[in-house]
Amino acid sequence: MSLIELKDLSKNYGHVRALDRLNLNLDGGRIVGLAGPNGSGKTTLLRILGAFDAAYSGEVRIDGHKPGLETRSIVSYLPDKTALSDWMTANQAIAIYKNFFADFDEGRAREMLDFFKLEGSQKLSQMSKGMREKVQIMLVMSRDAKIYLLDEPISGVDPASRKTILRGIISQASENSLVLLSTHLIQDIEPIVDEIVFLDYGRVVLHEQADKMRAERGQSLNEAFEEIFA
Amino acid sequence: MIGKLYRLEMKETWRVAKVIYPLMIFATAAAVLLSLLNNAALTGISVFVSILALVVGSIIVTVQTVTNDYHNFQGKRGYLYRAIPAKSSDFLLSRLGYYLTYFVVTLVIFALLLMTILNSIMDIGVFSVVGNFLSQVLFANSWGILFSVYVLISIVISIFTFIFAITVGSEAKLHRLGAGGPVLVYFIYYLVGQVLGLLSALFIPLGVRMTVDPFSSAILNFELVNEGMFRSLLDSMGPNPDPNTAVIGLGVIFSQLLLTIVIAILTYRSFDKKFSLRA
Repeated sequence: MSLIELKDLSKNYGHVRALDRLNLNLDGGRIVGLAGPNGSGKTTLLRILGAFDAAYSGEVRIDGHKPGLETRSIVSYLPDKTALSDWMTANQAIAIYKNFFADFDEGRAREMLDFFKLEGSQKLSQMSKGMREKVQIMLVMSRDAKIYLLDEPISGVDPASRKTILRGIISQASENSLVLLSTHLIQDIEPIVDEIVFLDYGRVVLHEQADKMRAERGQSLNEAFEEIFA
Repeated sequence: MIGKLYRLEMKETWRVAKVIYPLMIFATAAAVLLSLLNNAALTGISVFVSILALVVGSIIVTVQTVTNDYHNFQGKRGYLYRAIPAKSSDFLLSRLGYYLTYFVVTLVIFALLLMTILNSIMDIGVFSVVGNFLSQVLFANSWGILFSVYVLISIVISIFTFIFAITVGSEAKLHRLGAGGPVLVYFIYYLVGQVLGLLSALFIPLGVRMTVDPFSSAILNFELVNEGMFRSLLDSMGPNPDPNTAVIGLGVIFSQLLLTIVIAILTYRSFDKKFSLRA
């Protein structure tokens, strides 16, 4: 059984179809890149998987369960916007996560805080966008989850920070967990992903092992992306 | 889990309340101190300003209570709150406690401070007048106690209504309306509640017949009767109306109870199964 199983998943926003009978299976122990142009349905898909949007049709199974109470304890979700209040410090955010998530590892959070060179006592309102992104990644990746859903974790941050963030993600993902990260910065994630899923108009247009694709098509992920979406 | 969720939500609004409550106390203290100077103009202005501060302060805390709850469960913060592995009932009960705490605390602070201001400018002891009213009128008989219980239940129902409007008004099908969704749902609820309340007060055969002294207009008697307001209303419009007796329909209690049960069920179902974060 795959960790994520999607069958004919559709989602509309009014008359606009965001996901169109999407079928996809993803297994554990993989880092999967979810790529596609703006409006291709990446965020919508991750929101449904994260149990933040219950209004869809089709079948969604996460470790055998519908997104909801059972899956919240095994899914760690990074939104594409800051979910924390500006007045919070990183230390307060850690305390909140420790309080609510049984799988949260404070030691791991402190390690990542050091790795990202962040001050625990600094308020989010005093941090740059990149620093806030790092705080959120630190919180999300410090959970011992089966599935990590990361929505645009490196967009809007400088290239050096992107590398640091991606190194932080790889270092914390456990061996059997599934990391699904959405982005349109293909060249940045190319070195770390095991699989790639390309979405367009709410449908999977390509789902391939990264190595196999490079070997068989003789293309980098970025070249394939440009060829498909040009 | 309910306690943890309650504390988390309380903390968000406390950031505003911890500033507003002391400001309200400061405004009251200033008005009381200035009234000691016995300058009529100064006292008038300070009392006006301080009462205005109490009203504005209470409104700010109340609005913050509602908007913070909206942002916690439908806005960007929903990505944290709704990621927490807690049951829908835990979320709903903690929210009920959160609303109840801020509404009641704000109401009590407002009432006490207002009484303090009035006490400083009036010759009668406002606290003793209110105390006498409570002990000798409101809590002196079972009707008064029932009325007090009804007021308390009404506050809880109002809170339910806010949670209902925010939750159901944020369902995916109303996504395009943004924050207008909850406003629309509240408006519809209000209309349905008014129509249902009026019909049940008129036709459900349970009411209180009130007899009034024709000379002093004092209420002479309360009597529980098996009739709604409809007959009394017809009589009052007929050729021989009796201005000294009236029936107040109590059927509204049943319709309110029914409506509350319905919105509680809708809220519970909607919270987990039909929602879509606005952010």
